[in-house]
Amino acid sequence: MTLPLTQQDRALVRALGQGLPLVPRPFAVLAERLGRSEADVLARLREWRQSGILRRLSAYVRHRREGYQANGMVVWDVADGAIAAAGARLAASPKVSHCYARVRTESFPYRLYAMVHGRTRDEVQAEAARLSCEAGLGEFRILFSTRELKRSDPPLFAEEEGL
Amino acid sequence: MGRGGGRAGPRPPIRGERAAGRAAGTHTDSLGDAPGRMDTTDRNLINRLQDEIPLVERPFAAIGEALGLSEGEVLARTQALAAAGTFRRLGASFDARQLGYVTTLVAVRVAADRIEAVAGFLRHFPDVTHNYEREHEFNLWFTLVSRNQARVEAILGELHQQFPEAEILNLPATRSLKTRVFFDMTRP
Repeated sequence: MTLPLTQQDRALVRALGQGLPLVPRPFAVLAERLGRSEADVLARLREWRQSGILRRLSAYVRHRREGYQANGMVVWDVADGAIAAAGARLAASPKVSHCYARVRTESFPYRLYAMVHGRTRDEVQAEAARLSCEAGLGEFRILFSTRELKRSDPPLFAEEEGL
Repeated sequence: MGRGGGRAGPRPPIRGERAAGRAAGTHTDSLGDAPGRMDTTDRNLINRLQDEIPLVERPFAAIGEALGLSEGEVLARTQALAAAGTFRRLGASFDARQLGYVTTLVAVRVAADRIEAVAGFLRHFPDVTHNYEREHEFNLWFTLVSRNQARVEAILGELHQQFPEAEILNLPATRSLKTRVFFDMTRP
């Protein structure tokens, strides 16, 4: 799954991490910074978008400030064979931002994880119950977040900064 | 190729100031918006910006076409929303695993009065991208985006050394089913 990226491509990944400039032709500005052409940068980004390396280019809303105060990590124990179908049901909810299957351990015996966001805890609770029912899943736990201790951008190719 | 809007769009400074005023909280429109920093157009715009910035030469013109706004107005409103702090930035989300990184979620069970110390220790690693306190006996949850597996193990090893009393669970994903953050801003 790993694609070899050129040093130029890695610089493009880093540049995009800093955000798109708010100007009429933002990709031209990025391209100029990187010594590439606008067409070249756009072609590469479309390629990455197609292959899934670039998941999305979009605005990152400060959701807590905007009223989405409650955030719960909802977890279920699910048999391996049921993960794909249940996961697809969970993924369809607009209130679910992330959904993963993870390794199960004895001290935390769950397989399926969904991050559910809401304006209130009740909203998260209700959505978790609704999803659980709709996806044919049984018991669940909600781990509400009580404090954000760190949040930062992934350090993609950060060690090459300035090369 | 997204050349719908005028070259620079009708973009007199006053329009930007008006949009900034709305976004900064001096304006409530008549459509019953929440005591409001944003009018309906702002709310539709922020939803669109959260959805996807098109990969075309003039993305703001393309967004404007979809919303019935000029390129200049989209830019002015977007700048105002950014200045008001509604969104952090227009950024890219990459699949770190496809770029060769190792990612994982780690759960820690630690005494409540040690959480600050553990969080302080973790804060210095650029690999730690999210860290939350959660209501559970495993009360601290963080994500790692690391160069390789050895680096993940080194960080977890150090964590264990520093806090031998903590129970640490490494819970890598076996399958990614969704990563799409979207907060509907049209529902005040």
